Amino acid sequence: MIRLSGKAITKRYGATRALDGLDLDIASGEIVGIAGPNGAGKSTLTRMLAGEETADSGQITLTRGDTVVDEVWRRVAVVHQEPHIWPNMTVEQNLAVGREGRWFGDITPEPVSAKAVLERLGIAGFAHHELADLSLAVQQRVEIARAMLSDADVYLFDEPNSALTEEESEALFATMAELAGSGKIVLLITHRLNDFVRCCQRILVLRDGRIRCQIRGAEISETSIAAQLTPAETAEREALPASARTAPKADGAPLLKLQSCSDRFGAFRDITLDLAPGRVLALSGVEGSGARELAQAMGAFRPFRDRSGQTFTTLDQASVAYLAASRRDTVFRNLSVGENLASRLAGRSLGRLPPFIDPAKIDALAARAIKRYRVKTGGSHAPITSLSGGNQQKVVLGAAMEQGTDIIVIEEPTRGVDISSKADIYELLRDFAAQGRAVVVFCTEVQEIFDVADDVVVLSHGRIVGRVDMAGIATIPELADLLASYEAV
Amino acid sequence: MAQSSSSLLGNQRVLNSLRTLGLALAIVLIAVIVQSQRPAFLSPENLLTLVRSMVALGMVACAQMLVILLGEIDLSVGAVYGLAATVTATLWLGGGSLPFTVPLLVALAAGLAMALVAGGINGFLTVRAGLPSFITTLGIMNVADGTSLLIGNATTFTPAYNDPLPPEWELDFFHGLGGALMRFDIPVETLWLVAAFILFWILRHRTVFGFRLLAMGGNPEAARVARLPLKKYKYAVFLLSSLMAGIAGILDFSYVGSVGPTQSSALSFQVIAAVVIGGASLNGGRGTIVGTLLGVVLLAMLNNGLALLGVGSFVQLLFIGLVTIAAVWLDLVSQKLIRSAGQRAARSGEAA
Repeated sequence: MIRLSGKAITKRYGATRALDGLDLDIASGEIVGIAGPNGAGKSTLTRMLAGEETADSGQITLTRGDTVVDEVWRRVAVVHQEPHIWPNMTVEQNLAVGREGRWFGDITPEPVSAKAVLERLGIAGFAHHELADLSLAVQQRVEIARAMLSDADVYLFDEPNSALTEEESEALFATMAELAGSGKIVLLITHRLNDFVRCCQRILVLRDGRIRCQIRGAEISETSIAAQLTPAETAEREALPASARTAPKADGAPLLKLQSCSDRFGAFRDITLDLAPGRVLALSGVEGSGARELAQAMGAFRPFRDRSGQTFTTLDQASVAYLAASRRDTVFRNLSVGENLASRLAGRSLGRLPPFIDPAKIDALAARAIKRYRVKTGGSHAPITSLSGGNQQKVVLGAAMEQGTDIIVIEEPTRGVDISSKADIYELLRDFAAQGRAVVVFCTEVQEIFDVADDVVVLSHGRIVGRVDMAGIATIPELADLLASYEAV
Repeated sequence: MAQSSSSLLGNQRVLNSLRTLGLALAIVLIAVIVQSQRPAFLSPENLLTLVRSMVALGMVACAQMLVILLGEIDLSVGAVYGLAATVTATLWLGGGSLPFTVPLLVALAAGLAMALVAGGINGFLTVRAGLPSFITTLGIMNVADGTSLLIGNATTFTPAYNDPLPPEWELDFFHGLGGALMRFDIPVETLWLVAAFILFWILRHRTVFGFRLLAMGGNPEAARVARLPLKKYKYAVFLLSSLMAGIAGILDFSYVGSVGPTQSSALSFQVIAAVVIGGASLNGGRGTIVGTLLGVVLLAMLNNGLALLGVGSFVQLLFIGLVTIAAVWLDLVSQKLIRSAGQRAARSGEAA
């Protein structure tokens, strides 16, 4: 009997409480789902279980029978969302890293069990291929195989199947059930509500660093989870989808027309899409569906091909500003707030005599922008790193909007952003579109689509599988059901 | 049939041998060209010269490859090579800035200890202080050069003509370390080179140490999550690198029979060039001992061949620079080609 428990665990990062009195009690034999919106504390909990973080107060304990395990992380195997693997090594070598067994000789994993796991995951044929040559799906399976081969008590799967096909996911769930059956603790974190329904006996819903409720057995359904994921207050406040709040349907020629376009590396195929002015378009789809890649292509960040095989970028049709998902790729950490706001500009907006720049002009521009984009900051000379994630994101967005392009493409606009900044960011995006421009967002959360979009395009396996006009959607669960039904096809 | 050929293309061992083969072909090509112009090239005497010129380069390059495999670099090896020899010579023979002398064995130990100290400082500054190893080892390169000059007082030491003359057995022992000639006039030094290659090959390809270096260099973040002892290994490779530089310095001193203030830091750059020509990536995570050996052979052969052709040392330098760039560029291009073939093979395998 293994038991994973914790009482009143807290963890702060500066002013943010990532975990705020979390209680845990999980016994062996269960597959427990951990659900929660972005920023709820899932990744902090993951890092804590993996021993990469320690709690400010409270402690996670692991007991086996009557004995308390000393270093919990030694008994925890984590399957990370972004695989922690070695691209310069073969699949087989990857399995052996850290558990080589002997100090001399040809280093290979324990052959019998390794072969069994690789076959089970369907990647035995790649044993001697280098990971850099293999797709994300295989890399993810290598990460899973590494966890399976470790002798742990707790197995934590963080979005394990984002790059797997339906059948591969099914096989993975079967393996997880076997692990649970053999007396291990299995935890699953995922954005796909359907996966919870398919494999968990119990769901913990995490919100604002605490477990808000548990859903058990027969009560588990996509609707019940979705209802718990959306806090009651906001559900009331946002009773209407964003599209109903502002005047929809601006007529006019599309800003961008895609005619059976395909990705050069096959991430998406045969995409036909018009981007109308005045609208916010959400691209939805799990990792590997091609939705993210399509957003990048529309952001002129990723060249693609039309039917004739000619390679081009959307810049040929309209001016585009693209914002990557991670602020690591969008924020200039060495610059001030004002400099960040001016970072995408050049020429006359920075000074009277280009290419020379005029600090006074930049200051004035920054002061204006700080007000316009509702950035909470000590001033334009404050270092950007002194801002909260939400305000950094507003600066990033402001810098792109100052560029005055026809289209803004943004991946995960509110990743790691607090609730109040989220509302500001959605409003900024909608205002931008209302000027007769267009916004494309790649979203991972139903709530976000509901809050910001006018149109939704759903991708699966690289193709468009559904289009939704948000004018016809009244509630979040309704949207969730609809999106899930498209993705299930 | 298509299946087997595609999986063959993706197989890592096959890819590695293809690249090694390319390097070997380049070496043969150079040999053929030089031989056609200067028939003395393949004479036993010249081959001996050639092998002899590879000793220091090869020994130091093996250890440097491990440093580079980890994504670091050691620019100080040339200076440490000189430092170890100078410290040994000064302590043993006197005549430098030090007012005393010690027996040969103590002097040898001190020379190697000095090299290890340099490696330890490289490791400390890189691991603990977090400085980039490029800066650390650039600094230590100058520190070591300066220390050599200070200790040796810019003297040229020649054991056989020293005053006072060291005991007979010490002279013989020292000469026997690297300079003595065996059958067919092969110097003892070459045995050290062969031993170093075998030991480093085992270390790199048949021990957990080498295996983990590969992992740590390929993805330090994943290595951290897997709790591999990254810091210890960094210390270890810097210590190894300096130790090999020290040994090579003393062996060359033994072979040449004298050591002076002009010991070259240029060795560092030759070594790095050889490792990189041998297919190692300065970003870490890529590099083999056989590749390094071939890189060393290619570089030594170019030096030797160009000297035979009598182009003059200026042109020689220029040529070696161009060849280094061309070799790495070619490797990059061919790697890309092979890699995309490997990816296609993998993808078709996945689809199946």
